[in-house]
Formats: sequence, structure tokens, C-alpha cells
Amino acid sequence: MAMLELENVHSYYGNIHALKGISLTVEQGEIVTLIGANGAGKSSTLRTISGILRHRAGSVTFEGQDLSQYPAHKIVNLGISQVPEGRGVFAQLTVMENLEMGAFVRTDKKEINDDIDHVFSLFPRLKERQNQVSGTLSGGEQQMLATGRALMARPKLLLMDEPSMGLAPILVDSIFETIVNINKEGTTILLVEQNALMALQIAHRGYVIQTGEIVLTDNAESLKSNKMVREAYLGH
Amino acid sequence: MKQQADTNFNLKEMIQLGATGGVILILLSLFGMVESFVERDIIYKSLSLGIALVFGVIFIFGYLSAKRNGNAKSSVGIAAGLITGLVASAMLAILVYAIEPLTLRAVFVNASPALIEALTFGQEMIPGLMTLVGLSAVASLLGAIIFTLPPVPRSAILVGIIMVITVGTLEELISDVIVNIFKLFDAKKAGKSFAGIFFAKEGLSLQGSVITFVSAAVISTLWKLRSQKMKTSFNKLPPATQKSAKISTLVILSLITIFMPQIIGSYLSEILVIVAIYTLMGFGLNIVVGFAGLLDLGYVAFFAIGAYTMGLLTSIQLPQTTGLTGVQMTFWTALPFAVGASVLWGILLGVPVLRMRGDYLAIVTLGFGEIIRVLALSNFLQPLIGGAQGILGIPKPIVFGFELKTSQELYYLVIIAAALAAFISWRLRDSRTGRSWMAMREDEDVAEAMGINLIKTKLLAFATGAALSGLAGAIFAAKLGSIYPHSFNLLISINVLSLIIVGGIGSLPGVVVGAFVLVGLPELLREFSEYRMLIFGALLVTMMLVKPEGIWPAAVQKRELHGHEEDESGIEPAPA
Repeated sequence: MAMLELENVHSYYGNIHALKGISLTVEQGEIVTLIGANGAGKSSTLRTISGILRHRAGSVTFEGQDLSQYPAHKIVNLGISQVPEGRGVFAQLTVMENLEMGAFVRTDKKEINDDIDHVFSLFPRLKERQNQVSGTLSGGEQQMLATGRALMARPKLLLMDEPSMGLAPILVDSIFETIVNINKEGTTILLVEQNALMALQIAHRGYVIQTGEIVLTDNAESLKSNKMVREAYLGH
Repeated sequence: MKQQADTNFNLKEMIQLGATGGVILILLSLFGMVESFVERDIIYKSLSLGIALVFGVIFIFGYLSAKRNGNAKSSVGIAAGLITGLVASAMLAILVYAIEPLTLRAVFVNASPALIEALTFGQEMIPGLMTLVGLSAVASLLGAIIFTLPPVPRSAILVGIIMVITVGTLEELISDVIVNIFKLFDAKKAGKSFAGIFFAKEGLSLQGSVITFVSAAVISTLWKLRSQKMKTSFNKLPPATQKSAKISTLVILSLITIFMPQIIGSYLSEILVIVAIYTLMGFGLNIVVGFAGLLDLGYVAFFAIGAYTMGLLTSIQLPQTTGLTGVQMTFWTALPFAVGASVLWGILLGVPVLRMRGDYLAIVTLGFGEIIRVLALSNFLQPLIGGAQGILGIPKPIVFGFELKTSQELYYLVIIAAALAAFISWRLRDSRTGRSWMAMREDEDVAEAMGINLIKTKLLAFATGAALSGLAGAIFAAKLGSIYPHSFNLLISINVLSLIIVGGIGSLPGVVVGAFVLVGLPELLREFSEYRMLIFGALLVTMMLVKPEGIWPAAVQKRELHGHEEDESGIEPAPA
């Protein structure tokens, strides 16, 4: 059984039909990427999984449990954690405080401290800046912080929303490298990206979403060479 | 042309600044502030508040002009100050000269002969105006010269001047306080003669003002120069001595707190009680707005609910229309009900507005506040709560058989309540709940994704805020002994919101400072009641321009508004 399974999911913003029957699966240990243009429904899919946006039809199951029965703030307890679009760090709190907020649902003080050290080993940059207000971090550092904060909940599944957005190419490389490392440590990743080339380089499988519908799915290698993907997203 | 570039002699800017000063002076004169303040002496028979106001403005503009133009060369600064002062005073002189020929009085009631007399110093028109301009030149020169002084004497002189003006203006209150302190030691007479050294019949005496100026200047200088040294030498003391020093400071502070009402007398105690009630509300709203980021403009509603619950449960004279004798509880039995009722309504308001944010929330709460006030005033509820007649005969709190009647006695009750509120806020801020409020304030969606239960967190903020406001309302009702719907208008909500913003949003000491500035100061200025709101408004505008993070900001806000300046050295240009 797949770890995460979306079946024919429909989501709305008011009357706007954002997701028109999305079906996708993520297996334990995979990196799966969801690529598509602006407004295709990538972020809405993630918001639906994390319960902030409620689907009106279809089903979302995680490790066999129907997620619609949980309120959004409980879903993190099940092992799903999110790196939000635009990073969403708590700008007025320090780096350390942000990381502690990531572990909000946990009470095991000692292990939390170990995990903070682990995040610092993934992102040494954050350790240097641990007492700095996160609003004054650079974009790349904020992305590291948002990722580290999500890891603090010890997720089984990490949802990442456009980690490359607004970052310089060299930083994008390093962020993607870290994503691979996180995955190797055993965390399953669902990665939403506009930067299709980068995403397909590290992902095992991919889905292409257009105007709220999945139009194509395959393993990453085949998608990279797919004619339609090349024309629409890879620019050649 | 070349010379201009060298010395930055920017004549246009100086004249502009002078014109701004002139406009302010003209407005102050036409509003009647100069005229009515002339009656009031700061230094007996030498300097009236009105004249101090005029020359104070010129002094400040001289200083500002020197500051803008004189950084490179102090002579340029002094010249700039003089030019600015001359322009400003010339405008005022032209106004005074034009009052009679243009019959300005027909439009501006305050452009009166008394104003002319004050600004010409009782002389003929032409020599009088020349004196005015001449003295203004001196005032602006002084301002400019003081700017060019090194920082230490500069601040000493400024502190001295400010203290003379403050002490002179508040002469009555301060001499009362001096006499009261001596009274504590049974030496009322000595106190009177001591106060007599400083104060004349009205305002400071001449020697009093000299003593005040010198001592303020000396103390502030010593403080500036020595405080750092004292701190380091204090840290060198053995820990036991340090500890006992800290304990004795605490003992002295609590002794002062205990004897405060006796020291400051009944009038100031009354002000202090009002300030403390507002502080109590401020702590509550600070939780809702400052910690949780929920903009609540109807906060007065909970204050009213607390007060009315207290009134209904304790009154020995319920509205006659009810025909009831009431339950006539004591203050202490009714208090939990008053707080409980506020909490209940806090939650009832919270539930429908859970999904709202920012401006929308503000509007809904604004409406809620008005609904409560209108209900209190309505005919519909009149049989129960008295409509416009309100509720009378609310008894005072009784502690161990002792009735807290006057403000000097109620002081203890409100101080304890405010201290309790401060303690609760402080503990909550550093707790898990406090953290979730702050996360929610920053980003609701992300907070929810972190596992924060938004519903619970929001309702808890509303309920805690309402509880403190209800407590304030209950004390307020018992203090006044009677309550009327018009005591609970929108202005109270706005005042409480302003005081936490002025103090520094999210900051606990800020609430106290804000309450003193926003509630205490206007009460002290009651003497100038006509201009109270004008002064007050100008102060708020200046405050928000100069120090937007508040007088005593929370660490967080300081970081946000000034963080970039401080951290600049540590950050490389963001690569993203």
C-alpha cells in the first residue's frame, strides 16, 4: 500500500474549482515531484494534503488513514510536515525559536535538542545564525530554516512547496542536494516545483499537473525525455 | 556657488524650517494657547508658560536648523539657527501687527488684545515686536549653540531646561508631594518651609528654578558619566553584597509602593488608580492584540460586562423599574461572577469571528463593542439594568472589615490586580500558549501546519483578554459606586489600544508606560483642559513618527523596526 494516496480529489476556493479530480500516490522512501505552471494546482494539492484546504470529493489517505477525519493541526502528528510556499518563517522569531516551533507537537525535550543539532549539521549556516531574527535572513537561509523547521516534527512525509523559488542557482543546487540527503535518511518527499529540470533530476517519479488535473505521470527519467514536458517546462 | 557647496549653506532649507516654526507659532497663538498660558507662571513673575511656549518653539527650531545644517561647521549651524529663528519670529510679529488692521478677531476669537499685549510684552506695538524678534533671535541662537556643544554638556543643559519647565508647570502637585513626604515624618511645617524654598505663590521661585536647573543638569551628567562605571564596580562586589543590595532596593521600592498614596495625596492617587485600571485593561488587550495579533476594537465591551455584572449583583439600589431588591452580594463574592461573565462573552464573541483576520476582525469587534453599549442604553433592557440612569448604590470592597472608600485606599486593590495581570501575562508569554499565540500572529496557516490548534488558541486569547478587562470593569464599578452606559464608549477601546501601541506592542513594561503617558498625562494636564486633546494628539503624532516601536518596545518589535540597522554589519548582501 502506498504511503500517501490521493484519489479523485476535488478542492475549491469558494466557487473556484482548483483541483479537478487529482489522483496520485507516494510510496515510502520516494521523492515524488509534482510539476506544473503557475496556478496549475500544485500548492492547492499540498494544502489539501495538510488539511488547510478541505477537499469536497475524493479521498486522501496516509498510511491507510483517511485524512479528512483529522483537523489540520492534528495531521502533523501523523507524520506529515510542510515547508510552505514562500518559506513562511516566523519573521519576528529567532532561528532557534522557529526550530522549536517546528517541534511544537513534541514533548521529548532531550530528543528535540538532538534534532536541533541534526538540523544544524544539515545547515551549518543556521547554527551561525541561531540567535538572529529570521526575518533578517537571506532568502536561501530562510529556505533552509523552513526546511529545518519542518524536519523538527520528525515527519515521515515531507511536503515541499517550491523550495527553489526566488533563489540564486547556486543556492538551488545546495537546497536540492539537502533534499536528497534528507530523503536518504529515510524521509519520503513530495516536492512541488516550477523548476522542472531540477526537480526531475533528483526525483524518482513525477506528475505533471495542468489546470487542476494530472495530465501525465511517469518515472523521472522518462518524463525528462518526454516531448511534451520538454516543450512546456524544460524550454527545449 | 562654490562656497555654498563647501559649507552646505542651504538658505532655502533654513527659511523653510523657519516658516514651519512660524506657522506653528501662529497656530498656537490663534488657538489661544499662548494667551491663556500667559496667565500661568513657570518661574514666578519672570517666565510664564505662554512665553515659554513661544520661545520654546523657536528654541527647538533653532536647534533643529543647526542640526540639519551645522554638522560640517558649527558657525554655519549657529547662523542657520539664527536665520530660522528670525524667520519664525518675523512671521509671528507680522501676525501680531496685522491683528488690529485686519480685524482678525472677527474670525479668530483668540486674536485678542490680550494676545497682542502678551507678545509685545506690554510695550507699544513697534518696540514690543522688536523685543519679540530680538528675544527670539536669542532663543534660536541658544538652541543652535547648544547643538554645537559636546554631547555631555548639551544633554545636561537640555535636561535642566526640561526639568525647570516640568517642575514649574506641575508646581502645585510637586509642592503637595514634598509636604506629604515631610508629613510622614511628622514634620509638616518643615516641609512647608522646604517647599517654600523652591516655589513661590505660583510656579518656581527664582532661586528654586536655579536649584532645579543645576541639580537636574548635574544629576543627569553624573548619571551619564558614572552609570557604566557603577555597573561594572557593582558587578565586582561579592555576590552576597550584591544580593543584599538587590534585596534592599526591592524593600525600598515596596515601601515606596505601600506609602505612595500618603506621599502623593488624594488627587494624584485618584489619577494613579485610573492609570492602574487602564494598565489592567492594557495587559488584557496586549494579550489579544500584542501576543496573538487579533485586532480587537470592541474591547470596552468586556469592561462594561464586568462592570454591569458587578453592579447587578452587588447594588443595594437597583433600578426602581425592576422592583427587585437584588441579590446584594459583597464585592468579593460578585468578583468571580463578573470575571466569569466577561470570559463567557469573550468566548461567545470569539466563536463567530474565528475565521476572520486583520481588518475584518477589527470591524466585527468594533460592532460588538457598540452593541453592548447600545444594549446597556436600550429601553429593552432598561427594566433590568436601568438604561441611561444606570445602576446606583454599588458598595465599596471590604477587606477584613475595612471599607476601601477613597482612591488612596482603593489604590492597593488596583495595584494588586495590575500586578497580578502583569504576572499572568508574563508567565503566559513565555509558555507554550504564548508561543502558539506568537506563531499564530505571524502566520496562521503555517502555525496550523506546525500542529497549533487555532480554535483553542484564539479562544484562549479572547477569554484571557476578556477576563482582565472584566476584572478592571468590576473594580471600576465598585470604585465609582454607580455605572452609566456612557462610561463605556468606543473611546475607551481606542485609548487602551493606543496605550499599548504607544508603550510598545507586546511589551509588558510598555503597557505601564503607555498607561502613564496616555491616561496619566492627560489627567495631569487637566488644568489646560481646552487644549488637552490638542497637546495629546500632537504628542501621539510625534511619537509615532519618531519612535514607531513604542516607548518601551518588546524585544521582538525592536528587532523588527531597528534590526536592520544593528545587524547590517553581520549580514552579507542576500544572495537570493
